[in-house]
Amino acid sequence: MLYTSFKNYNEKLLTFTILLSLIFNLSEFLYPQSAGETTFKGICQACHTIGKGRLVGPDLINIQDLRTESWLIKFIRSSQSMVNSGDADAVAIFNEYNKTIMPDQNLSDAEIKDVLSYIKQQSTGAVVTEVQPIVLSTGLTLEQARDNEFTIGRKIFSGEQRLTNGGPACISCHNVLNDEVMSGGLLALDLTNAVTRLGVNGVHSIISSPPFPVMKAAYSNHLVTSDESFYLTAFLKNADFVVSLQEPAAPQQIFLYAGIIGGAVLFGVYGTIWWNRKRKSVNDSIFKRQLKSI
Amino acid sequence: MDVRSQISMVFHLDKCIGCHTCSIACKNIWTDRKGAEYMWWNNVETKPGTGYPSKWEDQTIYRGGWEKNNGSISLKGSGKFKGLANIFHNPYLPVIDDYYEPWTYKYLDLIESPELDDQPVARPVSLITGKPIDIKAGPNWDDDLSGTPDYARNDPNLENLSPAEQEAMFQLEKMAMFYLPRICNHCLNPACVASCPSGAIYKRGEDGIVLINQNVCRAWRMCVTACPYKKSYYNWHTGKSEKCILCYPRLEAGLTPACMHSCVGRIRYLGVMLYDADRIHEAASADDNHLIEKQLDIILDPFDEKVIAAAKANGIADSTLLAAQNSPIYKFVKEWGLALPLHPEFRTLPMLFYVPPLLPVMASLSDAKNGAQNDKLNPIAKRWDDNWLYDTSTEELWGTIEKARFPLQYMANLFGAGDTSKISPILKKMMAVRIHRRSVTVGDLSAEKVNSALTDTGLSPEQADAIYALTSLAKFDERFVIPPAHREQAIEMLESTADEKGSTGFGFKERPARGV
Repeated sequence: MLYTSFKNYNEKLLTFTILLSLIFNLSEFLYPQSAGETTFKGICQACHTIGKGRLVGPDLINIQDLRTESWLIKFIRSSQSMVNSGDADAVAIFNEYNKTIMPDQNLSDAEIKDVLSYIKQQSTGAVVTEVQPIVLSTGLTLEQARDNEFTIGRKIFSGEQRLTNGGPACISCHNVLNDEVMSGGLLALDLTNAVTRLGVNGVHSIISSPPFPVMKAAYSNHLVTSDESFYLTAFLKNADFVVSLQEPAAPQQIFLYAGIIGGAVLFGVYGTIWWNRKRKSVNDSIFKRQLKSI
Repeated sequence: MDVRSQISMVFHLDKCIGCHTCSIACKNIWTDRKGAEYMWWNNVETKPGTGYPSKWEDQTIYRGGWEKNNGSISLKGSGKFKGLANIFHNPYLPVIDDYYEPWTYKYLDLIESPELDDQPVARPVSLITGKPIDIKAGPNWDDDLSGTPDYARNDPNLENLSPAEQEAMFQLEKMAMFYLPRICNHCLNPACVASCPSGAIYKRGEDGIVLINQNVCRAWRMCVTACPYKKSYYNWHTGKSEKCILCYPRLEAGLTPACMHSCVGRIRYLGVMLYDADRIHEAASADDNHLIEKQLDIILDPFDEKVIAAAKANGIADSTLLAAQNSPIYKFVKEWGLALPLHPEFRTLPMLFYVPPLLPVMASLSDAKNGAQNDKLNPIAKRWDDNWLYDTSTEELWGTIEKARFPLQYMANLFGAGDTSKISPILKKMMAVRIHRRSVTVGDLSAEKVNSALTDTGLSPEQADAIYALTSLAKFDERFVIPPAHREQAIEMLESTADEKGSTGFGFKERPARGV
């Protein structure tokens, strides 16, 4: 009796496991994706498009006609070492795109070739020079964004307003010099001039699907919604503009100096108030004069 | 009138020889334990000197005792709100260096030493850390160092003395000193009891002994700060505070406290006093110059019928009343007015009284022209340019007291809250007793002089004889009049003894085999 029930239980478990694995595997069959596409959408898409205009980096349409495959592999591996070695093409691109460093990618030759073949496969349409405008779900464009939108963006940046999907606030790693925002983290790049460096579309694109390993890890399970990235881009654009008009106060240094001066004043006051407090043995001066053998 | 009884003491400083036998007796019985090595519930210090712990009398350092404000009194260092605010940080505590770091010697190094070229040495080791130390101080370092400037001249009691007076005290050949033995005063208005946040300290109802309940003490150490005499000590090993218990287990058995029993100079007296508990607050909050009078006022006459009736109504036993009537303390303090409390200005109403020492003031320094004497000397002889004479004559009756080698003001700072008029009558009385006794035993003084000495001080010849007898001849039972403790009644105040009846004591549970 005991044995049969045990056996029944095992059978049930087996059926359930098979069912579960079927469900998961089915999705693979229904939505096939080539390895190149996965890599491109996961990594490259943040900065590059295929025929949809330039973002942070260049549009990669028909890249296979422009550069040799070996050059591309080398560049994707480590663009900076090529720039530093003085490759004319590499330097030209680096300068053209505001000296924005393309992160090194730890990809195998096969993986890079997959990506390139995916790009080749997608390079069918005509080149669109106009980038798609960044629009809020209400239809508001970035150019129409005003104080209201900037404020929401600021709140999202500083964490006053939580990200819908629970991602960490930008301020924990990034700093923006702005009078309305306290100084942020120094773990990642300062974003004060991010829009000047990367362009509005670049910033928006990076926020939407982060290419950087740490940022990617932080947000891959907590995606930033398109409205949120609109607000953040609007805020960063405004912060970039404002900082060009007036140098904001540097809160970090104010904190440091205020801390030092405040501490000195506080200890001075305590020391004055409790100057007469007993601090040592009344025989201290006698003991200090004594010769010591130990 | 709320009459209560108090075991009270008198120390006759004229008789103290500073032998520290009392301290050793106390140490051997009570404080020869880990964590208590540095404690001297009984200590003897040299005056002038800084004492133990150093400068304990200087309450600007230690914030002990009470201070008067708005007609009432409050604790100087702790108390309800001040104590709560400072409960985790109390900087006025004495540190171990204010007492001294206790030590012993590595005696085994002497015994177990192999044969060497040099003598083996027993190094001093700390009783706290167990490591070798340089001895920095002891519990009576003032004496051991013979009044160096560091100790004798830092005596807080030199406060109201003029610089010239202070300087005169420390001139070679003019220097004077005496010993001051101290134990817990078992005060009527104890600051330690008032300061304890845990309520661990209490004054025993039947005999007024102040005790710390070791089960309730929570190591806040507020009593260490609050006691102006620094007679509450913190045991760093047990984490409890401890103090002199007046050897209450001995007292209950009819024995004297160990320090008193062992006293070589027989300076110590112990007996019962009756006091009016209703007037304690009034006495403790009196003006500085009335403190002593007010304190002596609340001590009641044990022969007064009203007092006896009130005492009986309060449950004081007849045997205790009899002891109060025979109390040597009552005689010294109230009848003869010879003894004063130590530092009454701390307002704790201490019940240990001191007869101030006469010896250092017996001789005075009078002006003298030594020039004529010097002229007779050989030119190469040492010439003394001092113009004073060490005068021990009794030609002048009281002149020697006023011009004392030991300034009266110093004594007054110790025993009279700074008022010299409290001290000089006592010294005069003691002088008068001496003059009287000299006329009796030696007979070289005129009757006129003796009579004027006695009438000046208001003593009758009989009183003078009684003072002499109790000072010099008193036997054990005259110096210590200890009433039966009546623990059987005292315990009934706290517990219902009938509950225990039949459940303790001797007896046989089973009959022995041999039969009963």
